[in-house]
Amino acid sequence: MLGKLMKYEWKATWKLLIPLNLFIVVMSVLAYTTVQLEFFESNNDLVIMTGTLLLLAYVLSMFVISIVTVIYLIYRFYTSVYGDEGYLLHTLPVDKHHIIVSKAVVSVSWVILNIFLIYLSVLFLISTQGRFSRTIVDGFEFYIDTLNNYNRIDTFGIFMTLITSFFALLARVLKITACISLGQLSSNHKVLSSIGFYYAIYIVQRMFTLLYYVIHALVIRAADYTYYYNPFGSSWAFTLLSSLIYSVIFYFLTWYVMDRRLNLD
Amino acid sequence: MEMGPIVQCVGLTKTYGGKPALNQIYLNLERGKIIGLLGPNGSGKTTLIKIMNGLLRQSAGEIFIGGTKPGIETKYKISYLPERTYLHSGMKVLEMVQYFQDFYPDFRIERAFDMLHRLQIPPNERLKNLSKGTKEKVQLILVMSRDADLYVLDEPIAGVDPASRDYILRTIVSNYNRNASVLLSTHLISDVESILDEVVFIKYGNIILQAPAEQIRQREGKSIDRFFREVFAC
Repeated sequence: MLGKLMKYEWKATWKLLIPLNLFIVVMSVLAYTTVQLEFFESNNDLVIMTGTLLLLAYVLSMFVISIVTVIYLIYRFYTSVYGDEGYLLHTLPVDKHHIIVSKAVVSVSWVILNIFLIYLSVLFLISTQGRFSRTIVDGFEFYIDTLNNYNRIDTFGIFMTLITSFFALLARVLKITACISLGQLSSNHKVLSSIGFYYAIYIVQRMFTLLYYVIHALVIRAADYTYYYNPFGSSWAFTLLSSLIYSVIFYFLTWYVMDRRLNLD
Repeated sequence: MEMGPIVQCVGLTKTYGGKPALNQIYLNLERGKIIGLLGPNGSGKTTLIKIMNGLLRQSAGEIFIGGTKPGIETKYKISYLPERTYLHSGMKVLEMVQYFQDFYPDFRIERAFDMLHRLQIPPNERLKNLSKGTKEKVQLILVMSRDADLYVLDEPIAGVDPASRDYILRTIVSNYNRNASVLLSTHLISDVESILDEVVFIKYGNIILQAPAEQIRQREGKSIDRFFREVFAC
């Protein structure tokens, strides 16, 4: 049944998210053309302004598409699980675990696709030879050099950073499903209650992170400043572990409400 | 053929913030009958139906569907029509038919297409383009195209025109398995009275009457509708 749930979750979400992601491709081609044609080298103000506007639209569209993707996935979870569609979903002969897994897998996949496309788009843009792109490339090289001065980037570090990023993303997705679910425990103002839970959990998480760094600074690596500024260093271990723990907690909170405390309007 | 009641409630209780919505209900619903669950707003009908379908957990007592507590197994046995539209509006009618076929092994696709054809509902139409009444018809068709043990229909005719009501009621009568039961919750008693075998009156979370429809008519000398109006007079 998990496969069927995922199939229908893909079908329900791709109608909006495929066109949105295709829009990234279209905007990337437009931005690439703008840079390639060296609009900024022109003597004509109108051409420079058009180029600037196009690049501004490109940057804005990347932000907007990322935000719309996340908002749509939240909306989709809310309406399909706790809205009217929930009457169908929760009367299907399927395990509640399968419902959560199907939603989480599809949501995480869409966010990864979105990030990957934007990453490719930026790479595509800076691979051109114009002066504008050269500036961005120089910026990236400066950033990498700075990191290299603190600590060498090795394959293992990059691999673990990717793994950590994946679980950090999973924890965030499950945090949202847990907050929406916990909000259902309120008889009124369910959406407001979900937002309240989100910020309460956020504060608790920040406190734990702060506590960890304080203990770490005091006890373990008081003199090692590079540790705090190096995303490729050993700090992934804490992020990975905390993401795994948060994922498990948020998963079971979601399951608990869905299975034991379900109360559709 | 399975024996025993299709629904059995033993001291079933549900409270919301201390207020009882269902108050220690003892109820057996037998197989092979069309049963009317009748009561005014807030009497506990929807709470009882939600608990049957695993959409809500009781505060105390037990409920058994074909001898089993609500769970995945009982969802194979119950075909449920809620009083609201639960279909994904972006999908086509045909896609919803395939959805039901994918999830319910007892779904009879040819029966669904036959009913869609009779009611002149185009399978390739998107649900968002259909009127509220037509969407309700689609839902009813999907629900009645299953070979379930129990059909739970919450206000199945409330949103459709009187001309379609007769067809829908005929659909209910002609499509359910003779060993199955239909639990029908509605305010429109006069419309459904003719098809009811049994009647359950519910008031303030208590079952105040459970009897065969014909017995009530003979004993009271009036229709169920008239009797209901007297019992629940404000």
